[in-house]
Amino acid sequence: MKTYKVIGSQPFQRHKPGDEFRAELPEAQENRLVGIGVLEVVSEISPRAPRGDKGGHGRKATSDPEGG
Amino acid sequence: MAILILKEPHVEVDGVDLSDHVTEVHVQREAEDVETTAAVAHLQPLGTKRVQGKRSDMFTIVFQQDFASGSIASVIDALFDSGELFTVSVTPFDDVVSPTNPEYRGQCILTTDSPIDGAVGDLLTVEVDFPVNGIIEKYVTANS
Repeated sequence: MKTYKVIGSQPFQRHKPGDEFRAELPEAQENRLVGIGVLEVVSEISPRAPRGDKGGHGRKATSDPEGG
Repeated sequence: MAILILKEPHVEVDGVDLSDHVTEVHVQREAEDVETTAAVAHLQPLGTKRVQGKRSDMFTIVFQQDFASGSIASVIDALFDSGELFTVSVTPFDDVVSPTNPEYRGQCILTTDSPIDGAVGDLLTVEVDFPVNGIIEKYVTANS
Protein backbone atom coordinates (compact mmCIF):
# COMPACT_ATOMS: atom_id res chain seq x y z
CA MET A 1 0.00 0.00 0.00
CA LYS A 2 1.39 3.41 -1.00
CA THR A 3 0.34 7.01 -0.73
CA TYR A 4 0.08 8.78 -4.07
CA LYS A 5 -0.47 12.42 -4.96
CA VAL A 6 -2.29 13.53 -8.11
CA ILE A 7 0.14 15.99 -9.69
CA GLY A 8 -1.17 16.14 -13.26
CA SER A 9 -3.92 18.34 -14.64
CA GLN A 10 -6.39 15.46 -14.83
CA PRO A 11 -8.11 13.74 -11.91
CA PHE A 12 -7.14 10.15 -11.19
CA GLN A 13 -10.16 7.93 -10.58
CA ARG A 14 -12.22 10.15 -8.22
CA HIS A 15 -9.22 12.02 -6.83
CA LYS A 16 -8.72 15.62 -7.92
CA PRO A 17 -5.35 17.22 -8.77
CA GLY A 18 -3.51 17.90 -5.50
CA ASP A 19 -5.29 15.10 -3.60
CA GLU A 20 -3.39 12.37 -1.82
CA PHE A 21 -4.77 8.86 -1.56
CA ARG A 22 -3.69 5.40 -0.52
CA ALA A 23 -3.85 2.56 -3.00
CA GLU A 24 -2.10 -0.50 -4.26
CA LEU A 25 -1.64 0.08 -7.98
CA PRO A 26 -0.10 -2.55 -10.24
CA GLU A 27 3.59 -1.82 -10.78
CA ALA A 28 3.25 -1.33 -14.55
CA GLN A 29 0.41 1.15 -14.11
CA GLU A 30 2.29 3.02 -11.39
CA ASN A 31 5.38 3.28 -13.59
CA ARG A 32 3.33 4.59 -16.51
CA LEU A 33 1.42 7.16 -14.48
CA VAL A 34 4.46 8.40 -12.57
CA GLY A 35 6.45 8.53 -15.82
CA ILE A 36 3.97 10.81 -17.59
CA GLY A 37 3.31 13.08 -14.61
CA VAL A 38 -0.15 11.97 -13.51
CA LEU A 39 0.90 10.74 -10.06
CA GLU A 40 3.82 10.86 -7.70
CA VAL A 41 4.58 8.41 -4.92
CA VAL A 42 4.47 10.26 -1.60
CA SER A 43 5.31 7.38 0.69
CA GLU A 44 5.44 3.68 0.83
CA ILE A 45 3.86 2.23 3.94
CA SER A 46 5.72 -0.78 5.25
CA PRO A 47 3.74 -3.57 6.89
CA ARG A 48 3.19 -3.00 10.62
CA ALA A 49 5.27 -5.08 12.99
CA PRO A 50 3.21 -7.39 15.18
CA ARG A 51 2.48 -5.79 18.59
CA GLY A 52 4.18 -8.60 20.50
CA ASP A 53 7.56 -7.70 18.98
CA LYS A 54 7.56 -4.30 20.69
CA GLY A 55 6.46 -5.36 24.15
CA GLY A 56 8.45 -6.90 26.97
CA HIS A 57 6.94 -10.35 26.68
CA GLY A 58 9.16 -11.57 23.87
CA ARG A 59 12.29 -10.07 25.39
CA LYS A 60 11.51 -11.52 28.77
CA ALA A 61 11.07 -14.94 27.24
CA THR A 62 14.44 -14.82 25.52
CA SER A 63 16.30 -13.37 28.51
CA ASP A 64 14.79 -15.84 30.91
CA PRO A 65 14.54 -19.09 29.00
CA GLU A 66 12.68 -21.94 30.58
CA GLY A 67 14.97 -24.21 32.50
CA GLY A 68 17.99 -21.98 31.81
CA MET B 1 -39.92 7.76 -20.36
CA ALA B 2 -36.84 9.74 -19.42
CA ILE B 3 -35.19 11.81 -22.11
CA LEU B 4 -31.42 11.62 -21.73
CA ILE B 5 -28.95 14.13 -23.01
CA LEU B 6 -25.33 13.07 -23.00
CA LYS B 7 -23.80 16.12 -21.36
CA GLU B 8 -21.20 14.86 -18.94
CA PRO B 9 -20.13 11.29 -19.58
CA HIS B 10 -17.46 10.03 -17.20
CA VAL B 11 -14.48 8.50 -18.99
CA GLU B 12 -11.41 6.97 -17.34
CA VAL B 13 -8.47 5.58 -19.26
CA ASP B 14 -5.95 3.65 -17.15
CA GLY B 15 -7.55 5.33 -14.13
CA VAL B 16 -7.01 8.85 -15.48
CA ASP B 17 -10.21 10.88 -15.67
CA LEU B 18 -10.22 12.40 -19.15
CA SER B 19 -13.91 13.33 -19.12
CA ASP B 20 -13.32 17.06 -19.55
CA HIS B 21 -11.70 16.48 -22.95
CA VAL B 22 -14.35 14.12 -24.38
CA THR B 23 -16.51 15.22 -27.29
CA GLU B 24 -17.83 11.79 -28.35
CA VAL B 25 -18.00 8.40 -26.71
CA HIS B 26 -19.12 5.13 -28.25
CA VAL B 27 -19.41 1.85 -26.37
CA GLN B 28 -19.77 -0.93 -28.91
CA ARG B 29 -20.53 -4.49 -27.92
CA GLU B 30 -20.54 -6.63 -31.02
CA ALA B 31 -20.61 -10.33 -31.79
CA GLU B 32 -20.06 -12.16 -35.04
CA ASP B 33 -23.22 -13.33 -36.73
CA VAL B 34 -22.57 -17.02 -37.41
CA GLU B 35 -24.97 -18.66 -39.80
CA THR B 36 -26.01 -22.18 -38.90
CA THR B 37 -28.56 -22.85 -41.59
CA ALA B 38 -28.32 -26.54 -42.40
CA ALA B 39 -28.54 -28.19 -45.79
CA VAL B 40 -31.97 -29.50 -44.92
CA ALA B 41 -33.27 -25.98 -44.61
CA HIS B 42 -35.59 -26.51 -47.57
CA LEU B 43 -37.68 -28.79 -45.39
CA GLN B 44 -38.12 -26.05 -42.84
CA PRO B 45 -39.75 -22.64 -43.02
CA LEU B 46 -37.59 -20.15 -44.93
CA GLY B 47 -35.19 -18.18 -42.83
CA THR B 48 -31.55 -18.09 -41.89
CA LYS B 49 -30.53 -19.80 -38.70
CA ARG B 50 -27.85 -18.05 -36.71
CA VAL B 51 -26.00 -17.95 -33.41
CA GLN B 52 -23.89 -15.34 -31.74
CA GLY B 53 -20.20 -15.87 -32.45
CA LYS B 54 -16.98 -14.30 -31.25
CA ARG B 55 -17.26 -10.93 -29.51
CA SER B 56 -15.32 -7.89 -30.75
CA ASP B 57 -16.14 -5.17 -28.26
CA MET B 58 -14.65 -1.73 -28.53
CA PHE B 59 -14.72 1.76 -27.05
CA THR B 60 -14.29 4.66 -29.46
CA ILE B 61 -13.69 8.03 -27.85
CA VAL B 62 -13.05 11.41 -29.43
CA PHE B 63 -10.93 13.73 -27.31
CA GLN B 64 -9.94 17.34 -27.69
CA GLN B 65 -6.20 16.91 -27.95
CA ASP B 66 -4.00 18.19 -25.13
CA PHE B 67 -0.23 17.82 -24.95
CA ALA B 68 0.05 18.94 -21.29
CA SER B 69 1.83 16.60 -18.91
CA GLY B 70 -0.50 13.84 -17.75
CA SER B 71 -3.24 14.74 -20.21
CA ILE B 72 -4.55 13.16 -23.45
CA ALA B 73 -1.43 12.79 -25.59
CA SER B 74 0.84 11.64 -22.78
CA VAL B 75 -1.67 9.06 -21.51
CA ILE B 76 -2.51 7.64 -24.94
CA ASP B 77 1.07 7.69 -26.24
CA ALA B 78 2.38 5.94 -23.10
CA LEU B 79 -0.27 3.23 -23.36
CA PHE B 80 0.48 2.68 -27.04
CA ASP B 81 4.24 2.52 -26.37
CA SER B 82 3.82 0.08 -23.49
CA GLY B 83 1.62 -2.33 -25.44
CA GLU B 84 0.14 -3.38 -22.11
CA LEU B 85 -3.46 -3.94 -21.09
CA PHE B 86 -5.26 -1.15 -19.24
CA THR B 87 -8.78 -0.41 -18.09
CA VAL B 88 -11.26 1.85 -19.85
CA SER B 89 -14.40 2.79 -17.97
CA VAL B 90 -17.38 4.81 -19.19
CA THR B 91 -20.55 5.94 -17.45
CA PRO B 92 -23.19 8.12 -19.11
CA PHE B 93 -23.25 10.59 -16.22
CA ASP B 94 -20.60 11.93 -13.86
CA ASP B 95 -22.25 10.36 -10.84
CA VAL B 96 -22.26 7.23 -8.70
CA VAL B 97 -22.66 3.98 -10.63
CA SER B 98 -26.25 2.75 -10.39
CA PRO B 99 -28.84 0.97 -12.52
CA THR B 100 -29.62 4.31 -14.18
CA ASN B 101 -25.94 5.23 -14.50
CA PRO B 102 -24.32 1.95 -15.54
CA GLU B 103 -20.59 1.57 -15.91
CA TYR B 104 -19.17 -0.16 -18.98
CA ARG B 105 -15.68 -1.39 -18.33
CA GLY B 106 -13.13 -3.37 -20.33
CA GLN B 107 -9.47 -4.30 -20.47
CA CYS B 108 -8.10 -2.69 -23.61
CA ILE B 109 -4.99 -2.51 -25.72
CA LEU B 110 -4.03 0.16 -28.22
CA THR B 111 -3.16 -0.88 -31.74
CA THR B 112 -3.19 2.57 -33.35
CA ASP B 113 -2.21 6.06 -32.19
CA SER B 114 -2.79 9.25 -34.18
CA PRO B 115 -1.84 12.15 -31.91
CA ILE B 116 -2.17 14.72 -34.70
CA ASP B 117 -5.00 14.24 -37.14
CA GLY B 118 -6.81 17.22 -38.61
CA ALA B 119 -6.88 20.07 -41.07
CA VAL B 120 -5.39 23.51 -40.55
CA GLY B 121 -7.96 25.70 -38.87
CA ASP B 122 -9.84 22.76 -37.30
CA LEU B 123 -10.16 22.02 -33.61
CA LEU B 124 -7.47 19.42 -32.94
CA THR B 125 -9.27 16.27 -31.86
CA VAL B 126 -8.19 12.64 -31.77
CA GLU B 127 -10.46 9.67 -32.28
CA VAL B 128 -9.10 6.72 -30.33
CA ASP B 129 -10.28 3.14 -30.79
CA PHE B 130 -9.86 0.98 -27.71
CA PRO B 131 -10.25 -2.67 -28.76
CA VAL B 132 -11.18 -4.82 -25.79
CA ASN B 133 -9.32 -7.90 -24.66
CA GLY B 134 -12.30 -10.10 -23.79
CA ILE B 135 -15.60 -8.31 -23.47
CA ILE B 136 -17.03 -5.08 -22.11
CA GLU B 137 -18.71 -5.80 -18.78
CA LYS B 138 -21.64 -3.80 -17.46
CA TYR B 139 -21.83 -2.86 -13.77
CA VAL B 140 -24.76 -1.26 -11.99
CA THR B 141 -23.31 -0.88 -8.50
CA ALA B 142 -20.24 1.01 -7.33
CA ASN B 143 -17.10 -0.92 -6.35
CA SER B 144 -18.09 -4.00 -8.28
